[in-house]
Amino acid sequence: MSVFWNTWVIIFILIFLTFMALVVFKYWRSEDTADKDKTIATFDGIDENDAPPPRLFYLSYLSAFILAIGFLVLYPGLGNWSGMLGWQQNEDALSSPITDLDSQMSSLTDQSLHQLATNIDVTESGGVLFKTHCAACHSSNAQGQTHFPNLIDNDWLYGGTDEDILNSIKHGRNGAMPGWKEVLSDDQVAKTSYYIASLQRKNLNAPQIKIDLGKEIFIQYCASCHIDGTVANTEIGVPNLADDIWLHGGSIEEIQHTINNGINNLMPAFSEQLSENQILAIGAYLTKQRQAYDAKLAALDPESVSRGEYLAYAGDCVACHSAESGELFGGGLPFKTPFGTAYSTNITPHLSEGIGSYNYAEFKAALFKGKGKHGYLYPAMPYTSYQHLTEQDTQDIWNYLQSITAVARQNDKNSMMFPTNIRLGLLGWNIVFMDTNPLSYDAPEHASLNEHELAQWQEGKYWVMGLGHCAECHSPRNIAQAMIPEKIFQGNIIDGWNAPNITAKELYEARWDMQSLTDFLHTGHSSKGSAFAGMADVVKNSTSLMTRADIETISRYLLVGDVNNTIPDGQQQLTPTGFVPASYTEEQQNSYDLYTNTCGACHGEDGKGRDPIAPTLLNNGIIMHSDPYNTIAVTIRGLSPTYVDQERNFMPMTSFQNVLSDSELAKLISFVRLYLGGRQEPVTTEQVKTVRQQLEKAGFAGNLHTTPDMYDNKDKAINID
Amino acid sequence: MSSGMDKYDIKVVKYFIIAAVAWSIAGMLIGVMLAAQLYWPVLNFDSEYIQFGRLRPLHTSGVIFGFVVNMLMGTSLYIVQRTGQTRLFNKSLSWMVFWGWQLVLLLALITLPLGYTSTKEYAELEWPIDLLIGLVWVLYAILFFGTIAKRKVHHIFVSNWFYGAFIIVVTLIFVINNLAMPVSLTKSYSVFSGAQDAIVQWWWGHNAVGFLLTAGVIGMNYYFIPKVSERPIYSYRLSVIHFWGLVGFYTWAGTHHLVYSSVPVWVQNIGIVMSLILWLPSWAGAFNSAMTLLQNKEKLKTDYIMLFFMSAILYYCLATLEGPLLAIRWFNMIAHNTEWIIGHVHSAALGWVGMSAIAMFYYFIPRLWGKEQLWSNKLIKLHFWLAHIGIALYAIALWVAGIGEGYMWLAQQENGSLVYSFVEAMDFKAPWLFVRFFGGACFVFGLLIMVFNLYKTVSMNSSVSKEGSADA
Amino acid sequence: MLSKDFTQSVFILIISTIVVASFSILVLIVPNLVRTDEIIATSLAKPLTPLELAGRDVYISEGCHVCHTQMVRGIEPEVKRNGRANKEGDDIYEFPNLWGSKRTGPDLTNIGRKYSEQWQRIHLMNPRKVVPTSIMPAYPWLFTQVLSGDDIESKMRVLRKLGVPYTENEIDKARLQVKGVTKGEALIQYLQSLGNDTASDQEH
Repeated sequence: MSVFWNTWVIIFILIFLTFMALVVFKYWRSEDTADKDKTIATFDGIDENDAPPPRLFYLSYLSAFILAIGFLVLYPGLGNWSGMLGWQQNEDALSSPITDLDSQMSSLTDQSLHQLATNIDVTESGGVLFKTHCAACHSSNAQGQTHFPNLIDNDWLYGGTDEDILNSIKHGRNGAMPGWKEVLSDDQVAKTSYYIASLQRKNLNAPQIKIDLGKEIFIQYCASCHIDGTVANTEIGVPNLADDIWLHGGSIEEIQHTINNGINNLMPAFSEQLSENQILAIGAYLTKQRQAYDAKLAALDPESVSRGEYLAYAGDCVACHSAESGELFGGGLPFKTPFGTAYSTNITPHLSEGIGSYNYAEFKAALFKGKGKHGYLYPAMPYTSYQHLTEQDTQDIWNYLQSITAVARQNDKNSMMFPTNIRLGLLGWNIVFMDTNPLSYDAPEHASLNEHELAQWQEGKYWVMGLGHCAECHSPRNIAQAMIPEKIFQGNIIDGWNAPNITAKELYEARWDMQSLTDFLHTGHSSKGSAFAGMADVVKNSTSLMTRADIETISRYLLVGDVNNTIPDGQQQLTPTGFVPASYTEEQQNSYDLYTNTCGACHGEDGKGRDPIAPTLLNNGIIMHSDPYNTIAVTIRGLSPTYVDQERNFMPMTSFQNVLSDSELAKLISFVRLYLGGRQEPVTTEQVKTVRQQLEKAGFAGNLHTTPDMYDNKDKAINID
Repeated sequence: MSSGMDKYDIKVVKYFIIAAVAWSIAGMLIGVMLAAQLYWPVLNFDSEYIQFGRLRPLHTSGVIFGFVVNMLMGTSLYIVQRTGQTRLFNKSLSWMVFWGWQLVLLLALITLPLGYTSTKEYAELEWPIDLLIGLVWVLYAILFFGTIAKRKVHHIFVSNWFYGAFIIVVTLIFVINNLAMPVSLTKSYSVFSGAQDAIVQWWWGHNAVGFLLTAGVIGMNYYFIPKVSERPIYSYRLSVIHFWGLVGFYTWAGTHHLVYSSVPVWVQNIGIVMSLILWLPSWAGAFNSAMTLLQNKEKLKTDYIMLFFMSAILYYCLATLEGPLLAIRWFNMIAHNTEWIIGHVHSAALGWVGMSAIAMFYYFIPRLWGKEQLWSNKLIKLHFWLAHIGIALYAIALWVAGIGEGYMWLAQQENGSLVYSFVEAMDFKAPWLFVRFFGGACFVFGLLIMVFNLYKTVSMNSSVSKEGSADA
Repeated sequence: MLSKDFTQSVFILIISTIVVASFSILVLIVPNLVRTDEIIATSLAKPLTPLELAGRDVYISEGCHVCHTQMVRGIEPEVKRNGRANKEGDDIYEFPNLWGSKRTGPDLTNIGRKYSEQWQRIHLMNPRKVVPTSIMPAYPWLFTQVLSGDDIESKMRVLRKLGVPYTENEIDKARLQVKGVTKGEALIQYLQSLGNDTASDQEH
């Protein structure tokens, strides 16, 4: 401030303070005229008395003025006057540190990150620095988030030496991939995405031919950076696409989004914002976190982990806990219930997005009691079945889940309607509907089994009623979506298919046996037809990965039955005749022509199926099934290939919805069921119409396409441009 | 009272009071909504119009300009007539002021959610509305001082000094702070920039508190407190000291909002010194009002209107102690930018202004409509406790949250490294923000009870007014 | 006994109130307003580009300043957390200042060099995607509303009158830089500019 303004400021401050002091001084001097009982004026009925202000008030004012003047002499305040104490405001601080990071660092001779990671002063400083400057992207424990890499999984885009890591922090990184939207067609992008996804996942719902075509496109356009996708290049930050780490999301849709729009992944440079030593401290903190995670993994018993892996697949965790072709165990599969849609959750060991913050007891509570850390789980999670697991198996699964790659995929928001969106209500559901009695492994009373068969039956019961949770799909549910114990295995409609009746009676009647049932569960194919729809997923993700011996125990248990699930004495078995002369009689000729013009073209004029085009209809479990629902549904919906077994796959089945009328379908199905399934009772036009209307209403009707376009536009969150 | 009524222009006063009640509810409901948004961000509904950043100015404008100014305009126009024993200077002018001001508020209600804002705290409205405010304010000043000028008594009553200071100083600070250069009808840039602008803005910001929420309300209370307590004003000379202390020191205090900022240190320190001295006249005034009430101890024990006034004075003492405290560098270092400041403002706004207003409403509204008795004494009792619980929860929650986060932001390890990340501080205070929401909701619920009680009172059939009493 | 000054005359009441209240104007306001040249001489500030300016107006319009400060106080831990402390000259082109008064979210003075644009985009679309416990509102509409750029020239002319050194050439090209850009992108450009002009003036 210039001399003029400085003088101006000082003079006016002093004049003001003097004037204010004078007001008080005036009344202090005339104290003697004050009287608290004297009314000196009246306004609108309000009297004003004139009590003296308390002495304390004058004393306080006096000391305030003295202190104020003193302050203004000692400290800045009067314009440019800097005060006699030479005080500077940036010297003020809440804490008074006794040392600083630089001097602590300078005493350390070995400044390798491994060594620094053992120094608690350094890592604590680094920890807060990390949380302050890095956590918004890499999350607070450095496990990363979608688009922002995990820094403790030993997978380094730009190299993991001390120098690489510190360089990344100091100078930043910029990983850029162009978008291919303008170059590649949608179809080419789709095929490329199948190829990329196939590098790591076996259970892709895509035909090998498209994957192969995708590889050709990939080699043509992407190889200059990615080679064939299985090679990383830390020079320019090219990731290995064949591992299960997906920085930008691993679902087909996310992969396609990345291919279409490219990536400009930028890590800012921090050399201007943080000191050399602060960056070292962050590196040390990261190293410590990484070592801790490595130690946690190393402490897991490898045998237990591998048993756990087998069990987790037997329990089919992955099928429900992965989005349609999404990252394994990353969650996101929608469950449509009458009360709204719930999504499966991320069960990878990611601290914030997965179950990384769970301990074993909390995991077990979720698995056995449906009691999640953040509220009760919906019974779409089959904890009512998992509660029967042994302690050892539970421990093994837990160990396995800790060993898998942490996926940063965020959980979806459920859209359940009120009041089912209040999780506490599920506690009530559990109390009312959950049977917490342990399973009985006593030999069944209704069947006589030898020792081997009994052992199989018992083990089979453990699989079926526990991890296998077969009853969850194959049993009818009541209005609160709870299973009805007396009707166990009697079938249920799910996603527009009938999860068939698999009671011992039904299996016996339809002539399933150990061979065919075990083949069916283990390979997806059998002499009695092939798995499709939801069951194909189960076979692909779960039962095909189990040993044949274990599958046999499941077959044994299902074929023998149990309480509430017995074969009545004198139960007849169906005996399909195949097409016999009677089928070609004049009155049936019409139906047979219909058959040959439709089904027969693929399933053979004899109905015995034609590899690799279509499976047998003769003796087919679905044709022989008591409820014709699936037979009707398949003609209306058509069927896409299942890719259970790349070696042995059937062609897609077309829909006949727009080809045949309800009455023609009824006639055709009755005819097929009579000769190829041994079912006497005809299917009525009314039955066909009911099923068709149901499916149309649910959006399942019409040609189900032969390509997996179920990937399209499911994830609304990723398209942010 | 009804006998006296026809000697004065009362209708416009009624309109102002109704508007004040309506805006108190609206403004504070928005406040509760904001508090909820801070705990449940989903309540922003992904809507540009009601997201926190746009809703918050509507809350502050709603309570300051909607609730408080309507209340002060209404009561001042009433008191200036009664204590001058004259009608309003000009009746049509009073209606122009009323409808002009409601138009300002309507425009605020429309433009703030649309995102038209100057950013200046408590002065967010864009320049065309500022011009309208200026016009209405000048008309109001003419009306008020004109009425004083034609008073039939010799002296000017103490309330009217404070109202006068409120009108004059708000004019000064409002005009200077809002100087801006328009780009279009909905956009302008302040003519001040950076540190200079900050000084102007906080000179306004703190004086808006000082003269709208303090001087004006003091003026109101200097009339209603002796009316309710049926006792004389304790000390005339204390009110003079109070008046000049307030007008003098308050205007300097604003720069304590800029402690440790990049404005020159001497500017900050002058603000600190003046803020500390301000404590004395504030408490002197509070002492004067409290003594006025305490002269009627019998009534104080049973009458909830008296208790509301007494509580307001106690909260005034709390806020005027906390204010100077927060101006001190040590406290400011921790408290600046934290929830503590919000808590402090609400101790004053809910405790002092709110409780004063509530007491005034309970006393004044029945009498304005010619009633003497409240419809329900139980409900006023319930309201009293709801208001107290609400403010206490509010203040305590934000003390904990504010001191906690302020400490966590500044805490250092032995080697000078920070101890907590920002997110950790945020997570720490989250539950306290819920308590604050709950406290605020209690207060507003009490207010709704008041509205119900007063509505019933006013619409009661039989008037039980006592003729000939000296009551207003 | 009533005093015989301001309580008797409305004229004296008005004048004496104005006089007493005006001391603060004379001391705190006037001497600081006349120092503009002195402040500019110490300033490292660079005027915002048209797109950044448009982004700043989005920042203002959405009320970001309600929860975010742009004022790093000169206290050690605060500097450690938020970067270089503000100096008086830093904000000389900030009409009006955006210092804010409440730090519900972190200080943004030096945010420009800390996050990638991608992070900013995700964060504005839904803050909880990247900061799980964030209480910030989501701003999805910013990425659907497109700026026309029609008013950018007049904005820059007004700012030039107020003292921001924009050249005629810059103003001339401004509209094309802003036109068609979403509000979100403009806001991100503004955020990315914060603290860049003072970055050379560092002490750790």
